[in-house]
Amino acid sequence: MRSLRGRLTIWLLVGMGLLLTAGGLVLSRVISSQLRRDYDAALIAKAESLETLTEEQGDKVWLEFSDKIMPEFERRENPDYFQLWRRNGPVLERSRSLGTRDLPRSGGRLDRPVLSDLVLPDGRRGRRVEISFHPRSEDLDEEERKGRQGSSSDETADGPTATLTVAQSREDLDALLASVQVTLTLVVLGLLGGTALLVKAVVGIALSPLDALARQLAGMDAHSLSQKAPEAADAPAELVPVIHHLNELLARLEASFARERSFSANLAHELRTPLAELRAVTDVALKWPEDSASTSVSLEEIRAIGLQMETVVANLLALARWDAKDRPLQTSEVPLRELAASCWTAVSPEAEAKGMAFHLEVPDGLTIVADREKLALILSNLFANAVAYGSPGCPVTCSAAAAGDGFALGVRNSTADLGPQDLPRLFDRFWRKDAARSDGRHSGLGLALVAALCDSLALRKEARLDGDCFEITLSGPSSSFLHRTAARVEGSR
Amino acid sequence: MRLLLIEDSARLRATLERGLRKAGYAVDAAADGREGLWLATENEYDVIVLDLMLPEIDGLTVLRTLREKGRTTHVLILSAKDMVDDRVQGLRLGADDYLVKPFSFDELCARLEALVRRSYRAKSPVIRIGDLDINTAARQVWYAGREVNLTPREYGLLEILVLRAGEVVSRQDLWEHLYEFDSEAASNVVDVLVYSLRKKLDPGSSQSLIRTRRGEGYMIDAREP
Repeated sequence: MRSLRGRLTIWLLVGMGLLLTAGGLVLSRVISSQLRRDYDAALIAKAESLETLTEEQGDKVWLEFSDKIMPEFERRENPDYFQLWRRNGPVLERSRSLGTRDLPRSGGRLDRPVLSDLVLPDGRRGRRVEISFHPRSEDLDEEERKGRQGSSSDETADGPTATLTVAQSREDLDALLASVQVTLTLVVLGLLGGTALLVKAVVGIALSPLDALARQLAGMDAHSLSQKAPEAADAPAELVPVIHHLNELLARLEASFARERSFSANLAHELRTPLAELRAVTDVALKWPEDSASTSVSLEEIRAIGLQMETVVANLLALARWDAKDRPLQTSEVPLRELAASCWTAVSPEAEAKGMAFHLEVPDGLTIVADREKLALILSNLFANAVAYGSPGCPVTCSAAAAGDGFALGVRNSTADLGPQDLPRLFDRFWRKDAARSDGRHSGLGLALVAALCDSLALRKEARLDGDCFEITLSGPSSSFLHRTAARVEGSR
Repeated sequence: MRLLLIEDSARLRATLERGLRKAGYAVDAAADGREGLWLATENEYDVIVLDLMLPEIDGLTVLRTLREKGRTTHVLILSAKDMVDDRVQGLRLGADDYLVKPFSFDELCARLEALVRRSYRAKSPVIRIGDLDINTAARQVWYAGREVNLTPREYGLLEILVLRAGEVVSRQDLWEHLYEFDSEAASNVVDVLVYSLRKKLDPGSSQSLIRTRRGEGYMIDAREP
């Protein structure tokens, strides 16, 4: 059974059933034993009563019995029975109810009353007690009689001289015992039924917070993730960590959905703008096809738009590829100074046009172990970003040095556009300071690509803004830094 | 007709400027909200084409400011924002039309023509005054049963006079509706255009369709000439 409620109910019911059944059985046994003991004690008392009525004088033994005193031995229906023998001798007396029939006798000398079940002469189930004794003798004084009663048979010269068996029906006892068992069985069954109801109610109450949680979760969708599960003070202790972790998961999901929505909206806008340009350019060109000069301009624009869309798509594909982390690293020793200089050449024409000088502050000997292609992509994007958004006339600086057990690589430029509030969003996809996104040459994917590449290279990235000075620093672990170059680094400073 | 195009995308702005000029409009263009608001405040335009996501001052703020200043120029919002809420917000702030990017250039022209007609309270694109028939949608002119081929400027001048038939339109007013803000056209260019138009419309007629009000401007009588 997979249901927690079902499991709890079943196991609690089985457990309670076993306990109640065992309790009922023990109680039944105790009550039955007590009833049997009382019954046997009463039977023995009845035999002892008859014993006191037995007298001996010389060789004669007789029973001073009166049906007025003990009428149960005389009645016609359901009578009791007794029979008196001289020890190992003839029958001395029978109850009238017995007639000429005999009761079973063990014979021999009995040290204590012997009890056994039997079938009564009238066919009923019965129980008998057989005792041996010395009848009361009028020839003996009280002292002698007590001495004869108290001494064992072996110590007495002649031993008990009479044997008495008393038998009576045990059907009342059996009926009482059956009644007790039925009553106990009914009580146990009733308790089991009550327990079942109680268990169901208790389990229902105990698991109601789970039901409430399930209802709330069932009503949630991508648009209602902000409705967190309540971490109420009265929530069960077992559920508190579950709710807490669930809320953390929901928060992550919500952030993820928000990022996804923002990504989709930005992507749509990124593609919609060039599409709008494309359509407008083609519509205008087609409307006046005879204007060859205009058509030529339109074709140039169409080509530029195509290249822009190609860049966006290429960046998106690169992001998806680096995000998937399914490409193995091609690590090699990478001299940082040479790599930085190589990457700068791609942006140097634009930098020169904006009057931006390049300061390369990377020691000659500084070499790291990394994927050269990825590191080159990172540097190219950082340089392109610095040139595109840096203040015209201000330099772009690339520096690298040993830092602790690893290394630090930074690209610094001056900018007047950024504020501290922009730093947390710098690496978001499609984020651009200019909400209007007027500049069609940039899509806001460069730094997102840098972030994905840093993740795949296990590089830590940090963006800092100090006044107008903006710097992105990448730091690597000792495993990717060649310590043997440290001396050369220090030496080259 | 004179338009103001406020669009930050340089490529789209240049294309629309080129296309709209070819369609006969005088087009002033601005690349950001601040410049656009200044031009809209300083000049009279028949229609303003306004992008929403603009640098400096966003399009909705430009629109709100214009309306607060009492400028009733028709505004057509041209935006990539396509949600109903965006359109509702733009229209409630006082825009007269909303077109989502990407768009058809012909549709943009048709909507601009509709807004121009609304400016002059004309319901139909076909206007008839006496022997003159002018289709403002097809930008075609017939006079006395024959089609008249006009240059875009000539057509623009005739359209203004027809849409404002019965009203004297000053030379300055005509100039402002026909030429851009930074145009270097001479001040007598309107007179030259009127002369050219008269020659094409009614070369042999002693009484011109376009009448001169000395010292005031030009007009077309709303009744038959």
